Amino acid sequence: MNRPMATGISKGVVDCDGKSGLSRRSALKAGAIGFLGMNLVDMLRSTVLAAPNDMAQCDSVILLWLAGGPSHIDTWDPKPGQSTGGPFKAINTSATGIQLSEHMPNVARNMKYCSLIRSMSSKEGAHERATYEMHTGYKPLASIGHPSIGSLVVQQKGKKNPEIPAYVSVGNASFGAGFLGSQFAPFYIGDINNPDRNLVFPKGVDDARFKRRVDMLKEVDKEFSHQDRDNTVKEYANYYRDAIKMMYSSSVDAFNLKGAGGEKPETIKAYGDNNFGRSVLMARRLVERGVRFVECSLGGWDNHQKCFDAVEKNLNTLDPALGNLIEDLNARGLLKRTMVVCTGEFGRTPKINANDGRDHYPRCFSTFVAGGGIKQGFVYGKSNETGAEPKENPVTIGDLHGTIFEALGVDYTKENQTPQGRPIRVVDKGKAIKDLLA
Amino acid sequence: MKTSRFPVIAPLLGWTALVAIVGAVCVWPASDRVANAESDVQGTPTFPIKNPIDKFVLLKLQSEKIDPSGPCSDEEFLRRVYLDICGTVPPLAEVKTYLLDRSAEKRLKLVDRLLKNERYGAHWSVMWSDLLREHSNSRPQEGTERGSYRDWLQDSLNKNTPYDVFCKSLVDAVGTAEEDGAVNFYLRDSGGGNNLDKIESVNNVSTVFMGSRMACAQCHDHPFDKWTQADFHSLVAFFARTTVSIDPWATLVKVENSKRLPANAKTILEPYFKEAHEKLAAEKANFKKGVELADAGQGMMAMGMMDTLKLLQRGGALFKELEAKLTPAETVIMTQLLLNGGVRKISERPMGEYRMPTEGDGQVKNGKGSGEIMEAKFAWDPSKKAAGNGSRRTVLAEYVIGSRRFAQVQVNRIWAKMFGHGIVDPIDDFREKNPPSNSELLEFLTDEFMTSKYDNKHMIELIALSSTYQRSSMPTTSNRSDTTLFSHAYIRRLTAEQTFDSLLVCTGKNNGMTEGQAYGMGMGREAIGNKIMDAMTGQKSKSMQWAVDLPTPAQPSSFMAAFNQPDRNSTVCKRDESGSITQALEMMNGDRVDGAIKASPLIKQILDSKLNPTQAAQELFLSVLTRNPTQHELSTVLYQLHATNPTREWIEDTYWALLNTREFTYVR
Repeated sequence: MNRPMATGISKGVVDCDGKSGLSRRSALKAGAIGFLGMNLVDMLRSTVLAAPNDMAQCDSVILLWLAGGPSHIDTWDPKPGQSTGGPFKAINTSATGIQLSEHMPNVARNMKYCSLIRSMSSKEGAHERATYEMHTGYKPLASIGHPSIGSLVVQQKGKKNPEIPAYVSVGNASFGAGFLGSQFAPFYIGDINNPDRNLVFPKGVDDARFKRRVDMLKEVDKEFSHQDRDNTVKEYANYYRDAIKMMYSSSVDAFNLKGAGGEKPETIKAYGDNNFGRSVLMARRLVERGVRFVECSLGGWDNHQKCFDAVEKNLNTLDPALGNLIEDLNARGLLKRTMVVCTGEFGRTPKINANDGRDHYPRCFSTFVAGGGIKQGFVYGKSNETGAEPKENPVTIGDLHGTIFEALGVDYTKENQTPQGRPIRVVDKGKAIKDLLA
Repeated sequence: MKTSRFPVIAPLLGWTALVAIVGAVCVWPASDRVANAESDVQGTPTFPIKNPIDKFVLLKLQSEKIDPSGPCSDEEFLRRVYLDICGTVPPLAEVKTYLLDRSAEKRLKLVDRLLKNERYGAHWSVMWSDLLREHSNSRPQEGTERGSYRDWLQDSLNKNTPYDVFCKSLVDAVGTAEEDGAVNFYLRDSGGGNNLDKIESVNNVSTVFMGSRMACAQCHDHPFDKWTQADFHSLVAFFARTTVSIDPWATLVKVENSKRLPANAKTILEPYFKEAHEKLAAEKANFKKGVELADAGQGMMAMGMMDTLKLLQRGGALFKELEAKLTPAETVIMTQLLLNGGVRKISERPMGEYRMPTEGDGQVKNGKGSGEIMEAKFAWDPSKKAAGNGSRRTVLAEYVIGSRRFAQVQVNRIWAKMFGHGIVDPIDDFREKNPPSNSELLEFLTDEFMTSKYDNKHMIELIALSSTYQRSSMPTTSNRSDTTLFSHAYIRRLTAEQTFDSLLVCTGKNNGMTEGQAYGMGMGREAIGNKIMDAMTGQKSKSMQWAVDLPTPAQPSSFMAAFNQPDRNSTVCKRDESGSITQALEMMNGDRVDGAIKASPLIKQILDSKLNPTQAAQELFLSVLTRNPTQHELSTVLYQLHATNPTREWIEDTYWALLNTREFTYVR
């Protein structure tokens, strides 16, 4: 595969390692990047812009999305000895007084850095609507398209690294930017094993040929674009400029887990060498390079039948990835500025059905939160003995969103204007959970 | 089509001579309102008045001291009108024929032919899918019944169903999706269960058909429009008696026809199938569109198939019997067929009231009059009410289609689609403080539409053949800043579907038949789509189709989503036209573009037929941009060819460059 060579000019955006000079080779490349109005000076300037622009503790979020609605009782909120408890044992964790399902040893080992909300409660029990609500904080409505939380985070906090997208979504769970417009939409990675599919040249094209193509394009694009007909036409060229910049940016090595600048084989193995594990590892690499919001999706939690086999299997995928992500972020000093949220759209019925399954249950479920401004080794809220309802401090989806924005230093009561002039708050009605914030 | 065409006799209007000068053939309006009007407006050789649209636009421009731009070229017209009516760029063969055609009626003939092509319905259905949030890949219980909505929309458009009939069919739809795809208007908003979200039904009617943004009034009086919360909820009352239920008999018939039905189960269910057919036949005989009389069976509405059968006191026994006689795998299939495959039905009960929601019901903020029974009142004319036991939705449909606003909204929508901007804009925001930019024009179009008996194609044709539509997009000094009076053609972005399909057309050539011929013959979309795709991929593939045949909403990581196809969660009246890094990367490096280029039969044709480099470049420009290269472009392109004859690599590079131009991604 022909990959554009990183020019080196963008080094130092986050991981400053001193290689900031332009080599002859990279200057040559800049010819291609210089396409459509962007010259070398602009490029250099854009790298300077990348200095951190705020001092808030938390500045990035990783959302691990468990699609289908995981059973809270078989994961975060074990109920040993209860008729609803299911077959899993509860194990102690490194956090005093917090127990987890026995199939989460890696998370258990790192639980002292993490927290749980065990009293999440909502009303939406259909997958699509509930997924929408958890992502946007609003119920779906024909009259308005609400932005995903990732889009809001980027809109509110801005880009940290101008060379790569600020919001990356692995898998297809995210909703888009809604009324905020496509500039805040996530950069989607559909296939984790081909994450940079459009960042590399098509087969048979190399650097020189790409340059020839771009040269030709510059000329044949003139007739139309030079007629000064419309501003949006001018703006469209900026996306080509940024796309080419991204292709040649050293930051995109985040997508390459293997090879030079990649991860050690044992690290890849530790996260679980599977699609989800690789996407979580990539999330860490993206956050290191200044991406604001990364979402990784793990499906398979809609367990109406044979729930326990499925949950065990899913946990064997989730646990190593999440446990090692926390450990890794902590070791690299990134945990305090990176919030990790792990949740699905709802929980599952405490009652085990005739098919050994559990059904949709929004009334009471759990969400995992860690890092970036969140207390460590803490449980907020409590479910009752059977896990059927919140017993203490019920938490709404709005409260969860409020907490995330509060940690990011964003005033979530602020209103955005839709193109129709409708004021829509960043977070609808929720309030940050002060007790959960460090 | 109700179009009556005859050349140029309008002595009162004084534009006869001018029209004669350019030798154009008019499409004459169906109404005589304008033909009888006195007018002092005169066309010019570059702005001939071909029909009253031009007169009203010109009058307005004159009053604002703005010049119209000159006419567009044949090339521009061909590309523009193809994209507007059929949703793709014109195929190469068509471009060549059209540009050589010297006849005076060529534009008229082209428009006429495009409107008869099935691609018309396919393309315009995309707009309706955006408006009505059509969801083709949802599971039946979460959205539409698998594609039947889109089929219904495409079919109605291609048949040119009068727009009032179209609207009424949706608003007062009853039955199952198999009987009538229009019931998806309600099934779409029945969520995961069998509960109709009436709020969304009101949004459909107000936003889509009446051009009013009432959503704010759901929770409180509208802050900058006249709507009160009571207005909104009086509209909800029209849907108070609409119900969604599983139809056990239709479900059984569907199960009977399922290919997955195990042979054993067929035997066991035989008596049930027989009964189902009898019941359905009886129902059909008694069926009265509008109100279905309440019977004991109506109690089933909130229950699934299993409950329904239990209610009939046989379900339990049946399931036991099935379980005993079938293998576990077969039992699973039966559970899926019977429990998850329930056929839903929309019906109208003869009674039932809607009450103003209370504070606790969600988004209600001031809770005025909570708990009160709301009278069904038509907010745009509150004297219009629904009383008695007849279907309230039928009454509502009559009020909607009987209003002038209804016609205004649709002609404005058609206009906006063809100009990129409405006469009232945004197109769903008709109110006093957002007046039309040219009310004479809007009123003329409205009269014309009503007189033509709500003929969409007639309106499209009238617009497409006006001088106004046939303007150049090149602004003049005086009209450069005009964005609302249609002094020149406004630049528009291709939609995701247009991009995808145009890519197919300009890189595709099927075996033996040109796309032009296929278009001309009005071949079905699947036939031509698959042929082009077969040629593209070099293999027989049924899964590759036109963009409008793909499931929606598209996966967020897909080409379609990257190019701003809406996710169909909210009503979209105007597509997001902005670019993105993702789009640029798709165009430059993506498989879709690269694959289309590499598989293009045109490359082989150029190489085989030994075209010289200049001829080859011309073919590529005509294919992708619907025009010949300029001298400068030609030399640029030839400069990159380091051989005497065209090489595959050079052709691919040229293709790539042309597809990546802004000219390709915009309509000018």
